[in-house]
Amino acid sequence: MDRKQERLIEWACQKVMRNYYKHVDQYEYEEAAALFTEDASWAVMGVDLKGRDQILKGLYAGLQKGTIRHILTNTVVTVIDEDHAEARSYNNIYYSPRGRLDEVDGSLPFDGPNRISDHYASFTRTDDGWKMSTRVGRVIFRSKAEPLALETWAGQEGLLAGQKS
Amino acid sequence: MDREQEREIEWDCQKVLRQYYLHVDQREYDKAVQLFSEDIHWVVMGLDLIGREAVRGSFGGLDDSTIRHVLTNTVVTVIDEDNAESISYNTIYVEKGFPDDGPLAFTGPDRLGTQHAKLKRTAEGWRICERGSGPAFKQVRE
Repeated sequence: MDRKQERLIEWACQKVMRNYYKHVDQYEYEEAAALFTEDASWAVMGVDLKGRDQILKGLYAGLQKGTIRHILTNTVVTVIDEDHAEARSYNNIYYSPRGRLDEVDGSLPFDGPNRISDHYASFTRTDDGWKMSTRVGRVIFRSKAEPLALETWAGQEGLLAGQKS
Repeated sequence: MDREQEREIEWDCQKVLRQYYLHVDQREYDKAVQLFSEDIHWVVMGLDLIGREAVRGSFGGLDDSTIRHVLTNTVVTVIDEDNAESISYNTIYVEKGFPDDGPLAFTGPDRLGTQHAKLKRTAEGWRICERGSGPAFKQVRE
């Protein structure tokens, strides 16, 4: 594969991630989940999800009552071959559980980013285009220790990494 | 040079800058310095260093802390087929300790600055040959 082909894949995979967070942050969870492969794995904040359907449930349970913005930066995509790639990024996450932006009048108060995470993803080329097959997030800095809605839901469902082992 | 060639250079230079910080933040210092040219001129945090070895020797000072360089707003300007320069914002988060047992508490970025770089095409690919930065904002810690 030449460098021109690699650049096209790098851009296509970056676009998948940007589209994913655009949909997630706008409560468009079906569209977001469709950017994963059917058998995708998702491991973020100690929450382990398998498959598109479970990821969709997690998005609804974790995010639909609050407001979140994922600022994705520093992305480096490494092309493995014509059908596979992986990416590393930083995720700067602003979050408020105090309400949905589309239901409040004006802006929400905030104290800065809620957390900074290392973000890993792997991608597979499918008949529907590039899809995420793995998504892993490791929180490096976190401003508040109280559990987020996603963590509470995952605990109730027995989906926290420690609960499974 | 046509616009497509310029875009290719812009893309490749951005990738080098991002790759550099991923390596630095993971303490992969030997890999990080490989993204500099042999004659790198490095002017950062009061240091003025020339050459890969000198820059490599300055790394590793943060042995009790975790750092993340969040690089944004990068604009690469292509000078010619073998030379380019860039300007970015660098938002730096740093806290004492390591996130091995869970995330580290933080209140916000430690500093925010402008980063300038010059890059040149070498036999190894695009490499950073000059790097400078200065903080515009710095958190006052008690």
